[in-house]
Parts: sequence; C-alpha cells; structure tokens
Amino acid sequence: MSACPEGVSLERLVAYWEASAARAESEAIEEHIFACEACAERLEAVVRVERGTPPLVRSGRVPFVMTEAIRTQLARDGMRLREFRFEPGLAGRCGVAPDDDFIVMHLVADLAGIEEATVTLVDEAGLLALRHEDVPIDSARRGLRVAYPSALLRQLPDSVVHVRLSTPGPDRARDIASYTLLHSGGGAPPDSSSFS
Amino acid sequence: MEALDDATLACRIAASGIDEEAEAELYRRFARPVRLYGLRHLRDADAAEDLVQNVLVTMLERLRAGAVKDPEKLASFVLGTCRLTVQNDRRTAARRRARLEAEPPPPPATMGDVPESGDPQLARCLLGLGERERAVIVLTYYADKDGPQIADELGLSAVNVRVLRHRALARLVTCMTREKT
Repeated sequence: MSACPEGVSLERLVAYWEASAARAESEAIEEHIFACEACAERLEAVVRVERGTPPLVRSGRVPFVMTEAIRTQLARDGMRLREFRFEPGLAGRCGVAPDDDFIVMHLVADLAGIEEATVTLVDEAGLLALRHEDVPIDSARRGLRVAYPSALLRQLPDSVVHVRLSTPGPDRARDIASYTLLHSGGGAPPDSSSFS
Repeated sequence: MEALDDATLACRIAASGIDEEAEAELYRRFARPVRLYGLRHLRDADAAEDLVQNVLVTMLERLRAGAVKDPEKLASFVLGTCRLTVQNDRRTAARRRARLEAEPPPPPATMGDVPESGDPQLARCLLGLGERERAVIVLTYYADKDGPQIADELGLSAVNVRVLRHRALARLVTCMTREKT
C-alpha cells in the first residue's frame, strides 16, 4: 500500500468512520477518500476489523482473554462456556463436554503490583504449545482468564499441560506461579463450572 | 491504465463513447470509496453494494454522454452523486414507511458479506497482536464497549486504552493492507 500524499492519519479516518468527527472534518475526510486510494484502503481495513471481529470471536477462530463484558456478550449470543479454576502449584482436571463452545482457563494468582503477564503452556515433553504475551490482569488482581474454542481442545487426547505464569523483568522473566492441567480427552470432569 | 489520472480516463470515455479499459479502471478506483460511503451512511452491506452499482452506472453513463462538465473533478462528481442518491433513497424509504405503517415490518436485512466463519486474513492479523491489544479490539467490536468501560474491565486508565486501541488498529490495518501487496 502506498502512503497518503497528504499524511492523513489513521486516527482521523477512524473518527470519520465512527461519526465522532465534526461535520466539516467528516466532509473533508469523505472528499479525501474519494481522491486517495491509500486512505480508502486503510479505511476499508478498519471496516473489516469492525465487522469481522464478532464472527471470529463467536466461531472461536482466535483465542482471547475472558472478561466479564465478553462473558456477558457470549452468553447473549447463546454460547456455552465452561470454566476451570487452577490453583498455583497444584494439578487440576479439565475437559470438554459435547455442547461446550468455549473453555476458560482461570489461573488463580496474587497479581498485586503486576502490570503485565505472560502465560506459557508446554506439553509433557517440555515443548512449547502456546504462549500468550502481555495478558491483561483482571481488575481485582486475583488471576487471569483465557478462553479457547472447544473445537480446538476436543482434538487433544488425554494429556498433561504445564502452565507457567510470569512477568517480564529487567533482565529476564520472573516466575509468578505454575500450574498443571490434566486434560481429559473424554469429556468434562464433574467439578467444572459451566455458564450459558 | 493505473498510471493515467481520472481526468485522462474520463476524456477517453467521452471521446470514444465507450472505452472498456478506461471504464474498468475508473470502476475499480471508485467502487471502494463509494462502498465505504454507503457503509458509513447506510450501515448496511447490501444497501452499500446497491449504491456502488447505482452511482457507478450513473458515472459511466454521464461520461459516455460527455456530460461531466469538469473531468478534473471526477472524484467530487462521484461523491456528489453518492450524497444525492442516498438522500433520494432516504426520502423514498420514508414515503414507503409512511404507506406501510399498518403492515408488519419485514425481517431485518442481514449484513451480507461477512461469512459467519470469519475473515481469514483478519484472523491471521489478530493473532499477531499481543493479548492486551486483542482484548481491547474484542471489547470494542464484539462486546461493544467504549473507552472508559474497557478501562474499567482491564484495570487501565482511559488514556492507556485509547493508546492501546489506536496501536492495535494501526497494526491490524498495516497487516491487512500489507498482505494485499
């Protein structure tokens, strides 16, 4: 994509799209996108983000951090969530029931003073399975939650997953807590919480 | 053809009455901004596509007839046609609504062109974001939260959220436009 010859910022295009710009500015941007292919292309990308994000979330094509607002919207969309709570230093069971849409991994930890977290999942052989960087901490600082689509987890056989919660340090990452997940490929264990 | 400006292409069409290559290039150039205008003002994908057809057919007909007074300002002509078309369509719709007041409303139109399985390119680009940036995008466009609400959800300041959202959008736009080239 070529650059805009007039240097119109993405912020101005977004303000136009969201109808938060003043009328004169909106009209100026509108005229500009008819004359500038680069800006029309950038604005089209913004529109695709707006319209494309909900189907991707609902279909589980991207993992995401679970917050109350996202949980509420998923419930409104008729999605079934199952949450598993894991305590530091302990092993906990998890699995996927046939009608689950999302599985939520809730890692309990004292995150007071922590601004940024990294979650690393490795298999029994120590091979990296997944890594989540810059995970937001819940406002009560009592842990974090990551949601995974059930369709992805259903493909896993019985397995042990080691989860490490760390925070970036000046020289290297500092460990906060570790967990062991005992994933059952044959369905959800009885001590999970389910939400719909 | 891509190197020729709008005025040159317009004059070619006016001179020959019909010039498929020039018409195709002008159609390509203006379809996107007209569609964006339609989405911005009509908030409906099907209506936006109708607008593209109506406006660009009008543009081509006027060019063929030599009726565009100032080919140097073709972009302004197309934008003006968009505004007029939407205005006329809204008046027509208002009159129709008034006539159909006694009848039950039709089922809402679907948004059309986003498949329920999602946009694969957007999925790839979203995966390239950090979790915090992705959370802001999901909270904005899926959970429909504004800046202060997102700040509350994530334990951040409103300024932080604004910066994060702008950065995430910029990265997504770069990713999605770079993949095309």
